Amino acid sequence: MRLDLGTFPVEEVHFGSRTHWKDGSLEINSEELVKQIMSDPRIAHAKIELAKPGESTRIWPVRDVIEPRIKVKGPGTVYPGVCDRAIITVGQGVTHRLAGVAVIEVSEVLQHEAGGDFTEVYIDMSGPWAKIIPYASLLNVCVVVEPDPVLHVDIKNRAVHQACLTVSDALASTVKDLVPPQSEVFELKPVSSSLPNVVYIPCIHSPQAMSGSLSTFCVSIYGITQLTPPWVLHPNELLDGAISGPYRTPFATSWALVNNPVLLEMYRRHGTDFNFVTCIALRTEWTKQYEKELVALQTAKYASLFGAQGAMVTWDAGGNEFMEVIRTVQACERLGIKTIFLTSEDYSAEGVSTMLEPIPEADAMTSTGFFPSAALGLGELPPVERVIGSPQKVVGPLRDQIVPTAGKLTPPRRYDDHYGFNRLTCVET
Amino acid sequence: MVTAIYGLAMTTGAIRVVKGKRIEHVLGDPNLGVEKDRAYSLRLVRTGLKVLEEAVSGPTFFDPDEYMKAKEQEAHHAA
Repeated sequence: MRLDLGTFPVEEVHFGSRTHWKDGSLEINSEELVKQIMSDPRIAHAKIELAKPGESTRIWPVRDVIEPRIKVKGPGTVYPGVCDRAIITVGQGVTHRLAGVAVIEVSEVLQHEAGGDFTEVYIDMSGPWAKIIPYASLLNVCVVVEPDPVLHVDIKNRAVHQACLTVSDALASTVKDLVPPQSEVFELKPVSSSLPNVVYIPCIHSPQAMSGSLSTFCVSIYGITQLTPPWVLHPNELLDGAISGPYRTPFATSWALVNNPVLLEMYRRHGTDFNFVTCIALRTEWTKQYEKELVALQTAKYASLFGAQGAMVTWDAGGNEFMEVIRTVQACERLGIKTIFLTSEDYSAEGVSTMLEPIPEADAMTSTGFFPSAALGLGELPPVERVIGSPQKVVGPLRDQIVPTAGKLTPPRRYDDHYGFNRLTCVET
Repeated sequence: MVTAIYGLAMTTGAIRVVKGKRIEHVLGDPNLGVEKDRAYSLRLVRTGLKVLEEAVSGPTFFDPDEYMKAKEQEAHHAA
């Protein structure tokens, strides 16, 4: 399976009379795009605004961040399965991407109405929060979109995500027929048998337990969000967005999943440091002890069947989902697979582990920092001149205060860097 | 401690661990219907109270079905 990923850098973006890319400049006909979005009867309001790095601009609420990509040659479509897109297996042929630009899904729609999963993410384009999130250095095409309020929550979700995919597809199609300035070949060619076999195990949240629904919109695998047995995926499928969609943290977005530094780094070291065999994705937030143990054992079994001698495990959630994740590490180690766990940590309290369940088999871990953003010491974020999205925001642990979005704000509560994007350092004392 | 994730309770040192149903409904089972659900909940609560009488030396696991059955049998033999 070979994928040629062509990159078209975007250094400048502006509104104009056509949607067009030339020499790093992206022109967007926003009227035409809004017209396309509004042709969907499920949509009540839509507008497009631009946010650029360094501006005193805040984007709220941010449901997803999408990198414009398009399939140029080969089967299927990027971000497959989501919003009724084709589910044909992706990862082959040629895909083009616009780099340095993102489509931001700005909407009040919650993923479900069962409580618990609130959208908390916002983006500042300047200031201390902007310095530590990857999206503030992108040129952001913000699709501010609200659906018809009478619709079912699942339909609302798909409608607003479809609106953003419409924009993403339109932007990416501007480079479909062009020769990419940069291109990288992704192919797992046979390598020396002396190199160890390594698998990547991304653990992906499922909203099924929290929402009580099999069709809740959230991060999906080929559009499926249910609790399912582990998925064997070629890394190229991930590059074409086979896993896409948001969860509720700043690093669980469609953009982060296709730019996942763990995946890219493992790929680039294939044939040099190890033999990158496959990806095995498992869903998390099973609700019984035996389910958690079962999915961990089955994932480790897959890894073993692929001849894995090493594994890299990441996850994108928190709380009880830690159980199936850490048990996967344990199960791999017990099958003789040396396993590295990349994770953020909880607050460190006196002598107590920052892991929910410290187990002896988890003997190689990489920390990406503390996930409660309060631990970052950013304090309140400064007011901004301009807000894209909702002018008001609910805050407080009880979600009972309404404040102006443009004013001083505490950072989004969570900063779990699931895939190692950040460049934070720390000193252990 | 009554918990659906008893493995975690055991490894993190809870002393008496009683097996609950699921994370969403630890002390009940809505699939049983209202009356049986109530009986099920009561059984779990009673198990929780009963195991307080047990002398344990470390994290100890109690399955409410097995434990209460054994206790009922003991009571039956004693009678």
